Amino acid sequence: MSLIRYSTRRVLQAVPVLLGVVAITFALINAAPGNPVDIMLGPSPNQAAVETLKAKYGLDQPIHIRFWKYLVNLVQLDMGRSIYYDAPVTAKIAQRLPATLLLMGSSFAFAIAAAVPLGVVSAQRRNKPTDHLTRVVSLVGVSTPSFWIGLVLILVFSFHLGVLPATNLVMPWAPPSAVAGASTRLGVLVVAGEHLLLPMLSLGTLQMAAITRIERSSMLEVLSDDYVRLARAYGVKERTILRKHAFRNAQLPVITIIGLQLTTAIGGAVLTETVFEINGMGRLIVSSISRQDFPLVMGTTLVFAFVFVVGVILTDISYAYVDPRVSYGDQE
Amino acid sequence: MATTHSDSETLGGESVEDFDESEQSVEARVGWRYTLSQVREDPTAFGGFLVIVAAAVVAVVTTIDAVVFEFLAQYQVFAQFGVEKYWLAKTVWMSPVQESADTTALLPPVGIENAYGQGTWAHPLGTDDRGRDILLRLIYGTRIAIMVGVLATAIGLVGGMVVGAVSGYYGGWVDDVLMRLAETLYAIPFLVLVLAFIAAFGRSITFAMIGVGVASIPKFARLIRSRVVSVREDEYVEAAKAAGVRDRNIILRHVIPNSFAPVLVQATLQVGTAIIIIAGLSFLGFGIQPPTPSWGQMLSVSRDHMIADPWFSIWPGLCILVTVVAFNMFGDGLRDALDPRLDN
Amino acid sequence: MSDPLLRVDDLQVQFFTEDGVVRAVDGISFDVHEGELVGLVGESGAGKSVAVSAIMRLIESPGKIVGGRIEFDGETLVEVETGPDGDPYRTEATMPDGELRERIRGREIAIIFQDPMESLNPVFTVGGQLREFIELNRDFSEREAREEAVSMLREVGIPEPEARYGDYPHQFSGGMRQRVLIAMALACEPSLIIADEPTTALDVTVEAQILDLVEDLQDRYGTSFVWVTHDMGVVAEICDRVNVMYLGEIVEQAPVDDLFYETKHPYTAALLDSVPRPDQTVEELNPIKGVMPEAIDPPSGCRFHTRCPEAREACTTTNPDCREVGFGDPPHRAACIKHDAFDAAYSGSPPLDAAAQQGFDVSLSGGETDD
Repeated sequence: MSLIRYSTRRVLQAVPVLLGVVAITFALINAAPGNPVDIMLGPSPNQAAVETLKAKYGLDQPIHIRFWKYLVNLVQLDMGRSIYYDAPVTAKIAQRLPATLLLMGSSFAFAIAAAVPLGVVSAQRRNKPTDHLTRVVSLVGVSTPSFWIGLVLILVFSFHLGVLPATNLVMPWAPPSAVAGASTRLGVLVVAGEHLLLPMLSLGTLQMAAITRIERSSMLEVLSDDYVRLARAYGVKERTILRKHAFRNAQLPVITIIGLQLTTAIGGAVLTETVFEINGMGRLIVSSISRQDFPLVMGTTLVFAFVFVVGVILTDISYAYVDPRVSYGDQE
Repeated sequence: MATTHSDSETLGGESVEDFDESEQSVEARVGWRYTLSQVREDPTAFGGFLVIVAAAVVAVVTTIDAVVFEFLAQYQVFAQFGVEKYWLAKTVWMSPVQESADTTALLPPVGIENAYGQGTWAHPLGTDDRGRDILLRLIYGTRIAIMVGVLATAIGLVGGMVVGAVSGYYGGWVDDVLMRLAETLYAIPFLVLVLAFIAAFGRSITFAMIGVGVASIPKFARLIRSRVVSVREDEYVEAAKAAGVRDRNIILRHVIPNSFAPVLVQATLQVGTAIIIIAGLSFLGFGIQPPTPSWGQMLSVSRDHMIADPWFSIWPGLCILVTVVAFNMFGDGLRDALDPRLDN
Repeated sequence: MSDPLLRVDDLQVQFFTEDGVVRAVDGISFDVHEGELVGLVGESGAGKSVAVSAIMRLIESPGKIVGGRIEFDGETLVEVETGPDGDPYRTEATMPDGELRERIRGREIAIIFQDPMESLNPVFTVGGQLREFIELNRDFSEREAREEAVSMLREVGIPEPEARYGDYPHQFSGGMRQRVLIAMALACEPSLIIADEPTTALDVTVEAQILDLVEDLQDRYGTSFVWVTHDMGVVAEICDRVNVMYLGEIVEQAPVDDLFYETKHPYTAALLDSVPRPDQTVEELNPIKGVMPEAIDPPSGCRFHTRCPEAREACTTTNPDCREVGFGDPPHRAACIKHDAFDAAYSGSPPLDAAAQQGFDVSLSGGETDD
């Protein structure tokens, strides 16, 4: 019950934050020295053409009116039109978002699945060879740029061994007819998996390393807590202590880190998509900056922020689910 | 305690004659010495420290060669001796930016052969797509990584310190407004915020650096604010207030020095992060522009030649890796030394 | 007298730290009879908690039991001897880990820790934790264990136990949590409960309630207790017999009345002088001078001589064992060479300049900058 109340409150708290994000992004983009119309029409434009275009993009109005209009449109899921594609921004984003979400989702799944057992085992065998190896790997993992891992993976698996594709993603839900090399549903899944594997590893390594580090130190800390000592004193088996008494508590800092890693993961996704030439949101924002397609830059920025905020809310709610103190301590 | 009074003068600006440095600040200083001795005994942290020092020396020397000499070359006094940009590199070896007509492009490292030829000691790590020596360009790339990484972090640190200290010390609506703002900036993913910044102000390494710095302000501001809030209630700050010391002096002389330890840890780790982000921006083409060598930009170029010369893609990444590992090792060591509870 | 329920014989526990070996417990012996409440008293750092943790072999790395024997109800929980190579090893008689865990921990011996705020797991309900331990140690079904848990909660004075069963620890006050931990210990029906400063973290009024509760419950269940405390007031209120510890050693061992009225060790005397006593009117309280030295570098001779008002030259060289110094049963033992039982040259030895000793001592161990 209180968890529902907590979640509701958490979602409501995000509304002003998102509003602030829109304002900051809007201010930033409008601070841009180059006027998009000038860019579109070249050095010596025809005055009438300038006026028409300005009117088309609403640039003839004062900034606060434009901001208000942008907000009103945004609520109706209208983010304006892309200058380069001459298409609605939302349509463009809807087309690109799934690939990015697939990439990020799979890399987090991989990171958590690998990091949690690694961290626990490392804590359990503290200062033994397994622990040292895990610590070195995770230190290197958090210090390596994801795009370079991607390049090395392509070098090894695509060029040298030739076993995995180096570019593009295939959506697992695509119809078999649209996927080269697949004639059945299963075939599509296999091809999608092959395409996903390298980008997922490339993006997920950093997350995995960061989570492993926190999992290990958090587990070590919890294992010396009084309630764990108490369980031991009451004859609970070490395995049960690890799995039940210590594990749940140790996940609290881990959940926090997963939330914070989202921001790094989004940045990593932008780079990974560039390396693997995946047509997702990351490449979209990069190319629209190069093309000074401001409505599209604005739209992609907002959607990235939205994804991040939603992710943080989800981790906060899972934190509250694991730790009853959060949702019961409704004092604010 | 009277002896510590004079050296705090420089921190506070204005001196307050009748108020002695509190015992707490002295303890913080003794603690510092202890922390540093702890770090020296920790081999990983010390190793990281040595790598950082080495990289910093390389960065300073190459900066002098690239920036200071270019500046001096404008003046006849220096120019007559042949001072010019990359003077040192040219004197010792060759220019890191000049393409030479007589060298083969994309040569492999020494002892390895590829379609373009055999690697030789003339270019130990091979040559890039324009026949420039990779090793030399890596050395000159250190400049961008370290300088930009450190400067970006400094921007975030100073900005965060001002925002955090003011917010935490004054509380009330000032705190509310500043923290809401920080929270909002924080809600935009780091790289995306920097990209938006670059989109608005233009693609150049300066804006990339400022963007990374500004984007890291919320992180520092939150950390410093939380420290300030806890320090603010401490007795010695209360005592300073009671003694009539001005707010600004209390913040500068008591609150900030006592909040600095965790901030330094955060800053060390942030330099590593900034180096990766800046390299990423250069990789995307938003950072340093050719021909100035930088690791990220080299990786970006190498992508087009991966099949022909895979080694070209390996070296810059290794440089980033080693540098960032060093900052992380040193930062972790500092944190362990400051927080004995996390004894791992 | 019958065989004791618990017998600790020459127990030694050391911690192997980076700075050197800490002799936290250095050869202590005591016993606990059935139905008895035995106190273990001393300043913090004396090694009390380590000593009681060793009983159930709960010492964690880098600590290690390096000598002595602990017997419980005729079984050897641990026996450590020193091998020919000088390394301590556990003898054959030592109970295997698995057996100790299944038969002794919780079932025969239960423990209550000092800090009730930290002893309950914050992410599980109070009832769930209670139920788990009861289920495990009394072979109850889940339903039976739940019923037992609720009735134990009622027993220790938790109002509306059915309703509180599903609450989380943070919804309980400190005193209530300590009641829960007592309920947890009693519910497993052990023959011995180790209480490691269970009331130190509580308010004085709550402490008094808890002490009353424990006395009342002990009368009814007949459980034996080892009660660790640094508070002589608590000792006077509930203990039958008392062991006074100083720097890893037991310096005096006596029935509670003898300890208070026929104090035999200067340290005990100093401890008693430092707390108000209802039976004596004094002008002012006399705190013990100086700070207890570190166990990593104990003073030579009698460990208390650096702070002892009665110390003499002889005390700096002889470290006395704990000998019978009075008459009566149970015996009264003390480790101080001023007693005739020691036959040491105490009376002929010149007194030490105690004031100088104290000054020296404080400067050695009191400075935080000393690394």
